[in-house]
Amino acid sequence: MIYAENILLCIVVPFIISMFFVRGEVRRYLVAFLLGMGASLISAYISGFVGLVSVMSENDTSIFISPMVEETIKLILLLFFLILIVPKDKTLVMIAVAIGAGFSTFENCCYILTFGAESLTYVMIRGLAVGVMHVVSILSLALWLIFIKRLKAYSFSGVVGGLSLAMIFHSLYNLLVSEPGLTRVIGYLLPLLTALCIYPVFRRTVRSLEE
Amino acid sequence: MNAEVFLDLLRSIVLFTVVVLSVIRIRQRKGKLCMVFFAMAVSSLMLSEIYWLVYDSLRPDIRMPFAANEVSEWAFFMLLGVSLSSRSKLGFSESKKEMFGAVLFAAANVALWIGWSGEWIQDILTGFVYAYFLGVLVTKIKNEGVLNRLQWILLYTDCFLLIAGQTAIFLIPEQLGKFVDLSCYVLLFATCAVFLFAAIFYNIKKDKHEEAVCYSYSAFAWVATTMYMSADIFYLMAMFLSIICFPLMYISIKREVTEE
Repeated sequence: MIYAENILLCIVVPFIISMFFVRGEVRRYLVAFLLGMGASLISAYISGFVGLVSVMSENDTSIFISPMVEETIKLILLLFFLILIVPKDKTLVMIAVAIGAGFSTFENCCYILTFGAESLTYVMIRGLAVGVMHVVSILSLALWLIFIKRLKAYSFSGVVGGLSLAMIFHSLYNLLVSEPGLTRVIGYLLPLLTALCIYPVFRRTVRSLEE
Repeated sequence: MNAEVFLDLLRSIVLFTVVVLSVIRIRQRKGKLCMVFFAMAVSSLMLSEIYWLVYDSLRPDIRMPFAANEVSEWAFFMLLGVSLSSRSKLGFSESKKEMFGAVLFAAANVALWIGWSGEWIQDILTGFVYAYFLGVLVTKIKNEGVLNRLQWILLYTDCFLLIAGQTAIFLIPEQLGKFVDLSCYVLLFATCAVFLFAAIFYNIKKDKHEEAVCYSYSAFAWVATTMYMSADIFYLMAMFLSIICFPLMYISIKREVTEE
């Protein structure tokens, strides 16, 4: 057993102190990063609770329930920023990346503390797979939100559509890595390949936002 | 490879092709809002299909619990509804009767699904998005004047007979129930055939793009209803028909946008 709240506090404190010495976009990035870490903890609580209520095994909870809970919490956080500070599209992209990075950083910390960090190869795979997956899923969601906002087609259905894609992408990853063998390799490669596909879209979007 | 897996694989390939074609049109700036939401809807369903295929290959004998693919199917119905309503403002006040009929039909379907599967929450939530999609569809049909009075009456009768027949199966003796069940299948597939032929006919005709859109979406709505109501070989037949619906819907939207 690990004390996730204590670990969170330990990691968060230096970031909070550093926030006093930075301004503007960097401070926003830090806030979003820290909230992403907090969201990871809250998601773990909710997933655990739902798993207990629905009498699912720990493994099944992480495969079927966690992706839905985690993506919903990340979306809520993104919408919170969107409604509260009404950021420019470029800032929204940055906030999304920070939330995803914070989320996966805390998840990886807990994972390493639970299962150990002896194997550098496995730690690297974990970092490249989960780390990239959380960033990619929320970044695509943010790009979709910007896209429908520009088309003046912001609607509940549009947001749910984006969320469903993020959820199924995350679920597919969890399902693939749950079984050993070729499926696990495909699972680990999935976030990286998606990131490579999304990168040109991201570049083009950022360029158009700068113009 | 069993028939269901084969059809799912085929459906995924068709959905992927439709997504790629839709994205190409959007990138060429030929696609309007309806095409964007249609592409997103089809992407949701495609990923849901892939998820199911992966699950089935990894855990073939274990029933799938509630998972993200269900959320994707809800999103699919919602986005399909938005793709219909995003092209022109729909006059919901003109179609109150039809909307009521659609919601009633969806509610009756939900009651039947619960009766068959016992999955209350999933079925009710699916019912909500299914009702939304049917509501938007009948409003579009009413607004465009695609069906005349007689056709509306025939559709209402069809829906009523279907629900009455399926409900009766719970109450009547088994032998008679089998006959009623078979009659319901005949009714379901005959209506599927009518909608599909109409969709193909209007997609071929040049100046009937509103009709083509309405009939293509209606064909899909009816095929989806048939899938939810069928089992065994009938389910596979309905699944095969659903594969035909996606290119039809894409062509109807593409033509609509191009002719504008």
